[in-house]
Amino acid sequence: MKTTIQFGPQHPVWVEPLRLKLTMDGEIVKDCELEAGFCHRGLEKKFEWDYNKGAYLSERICGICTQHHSTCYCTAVEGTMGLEIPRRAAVIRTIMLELERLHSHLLAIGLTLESIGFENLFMLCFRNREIVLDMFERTTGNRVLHGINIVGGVIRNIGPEMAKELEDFCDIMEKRCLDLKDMILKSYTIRERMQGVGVMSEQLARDLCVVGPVARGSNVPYDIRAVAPYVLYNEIKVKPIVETSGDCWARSVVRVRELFQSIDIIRQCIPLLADAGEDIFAKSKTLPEKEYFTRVEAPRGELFYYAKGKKSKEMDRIKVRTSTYGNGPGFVPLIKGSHLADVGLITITFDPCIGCFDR
Amino acid sequence: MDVKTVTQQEMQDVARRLRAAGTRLITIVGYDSGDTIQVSYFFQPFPEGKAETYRVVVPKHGGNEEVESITPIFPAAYIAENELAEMFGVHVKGVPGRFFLHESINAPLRRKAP
Repeated sequence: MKTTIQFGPQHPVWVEPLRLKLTMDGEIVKDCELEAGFCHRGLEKKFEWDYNKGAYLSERICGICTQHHSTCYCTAVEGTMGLEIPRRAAVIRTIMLELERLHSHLLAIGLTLESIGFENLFMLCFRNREIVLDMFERTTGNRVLHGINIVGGVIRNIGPEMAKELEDFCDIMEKRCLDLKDMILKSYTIRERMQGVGVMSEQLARDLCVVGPVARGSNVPYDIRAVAPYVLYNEIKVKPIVETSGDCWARSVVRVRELFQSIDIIRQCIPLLADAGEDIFAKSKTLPEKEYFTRVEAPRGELFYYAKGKKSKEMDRIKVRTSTYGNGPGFVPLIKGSHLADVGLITITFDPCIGCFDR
Repeated sequence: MDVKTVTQQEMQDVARRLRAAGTRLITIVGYDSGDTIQVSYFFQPFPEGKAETYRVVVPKHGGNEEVESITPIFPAAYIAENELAEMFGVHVKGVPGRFFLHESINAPLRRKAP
């Protein structure tokens, strides 16, 4: 007998609304239908206003990768005006981007562990994430919506004392992440629960053009930091971290390993601040005119902004393609044929951000 | 930003050629210039190469202009083509044309012809 189960829009495994309509045959999912748009805010239309305000608006798209959104927006608008940002601003942006990846991955790992019922480790992840948020508060003045990016640079500098604090933060964070890594990777329970569940083959990952840790967990080394370097990634080489098995375990292991990569990049950036000049902001002499697109590697994967100016203060068109938007087509084939008990785990290892998805 | 303008039929051939070469689709962007709808397709050669952009220009004639779908070639285009259809009020052949928006909302990004 076939039954239909509504998985969401309000489901404890996701914080945000997404609906899966599952057709069940006993415990097995036979068919799956994805419905989104529950928090569609029409931001692409709203972006057709003052380009200086757009940076703040872009942060509001997502509460987790705010810095990536505003950096991508600012780079796109700077591209339409042909504006080069000062080197110091690029270094500060890179540090902030990697800090944000740290806290986003800690959140994703924590939520994955919570979805399999490991609440202690979830709280440990969130305790570590708290340190990153405190660091954000010290450097930018805000914990979530940082608001330091503007078109042409950044508005807050990182001085020598703050650089020292960042170095100390890296040491503390690395030690804590090592503890966390040992606890997760050596845990028999977590491994048994997650290995072999929700396998995305390499071919499927290539066909669906999935991005971020989902692609890298399936042996597709696609990382925008390596494929099309932006801000400072021309100098700081990033080697994509890849796992081969393509299951929930592989996707989580990619995130755990990327924590150390981010700490390493922050460490490489801090000495660059010393001889990066004093300017953190370049004023533009022209208005946005051309069209331009830019991409950054957000914690969840490739983030794309297309900007088109019309030689006025208002933008003509901004298109945002977020990482969950790219990963969206991957939900359905993985859920089909899985157990009902695995649906939550499979979707949460995609690290879905519905605020990004709907915009 | 280099943009190659192609016809709808040429776009199908381009998509097939790129798919065979293992290229990734980044996304599809719609833009209303007043009297035309411009549909831009962004591709990223993989594992390396520079991103490529192709553009199809569809003249407006009062609604439900037809655009050929590339979803059969690139499954990743499904959401982007649905969004294009609902945001600009065009008809993309072979996709439902509704994904994010409620049925009561029609073509919010479409502009009035000058």
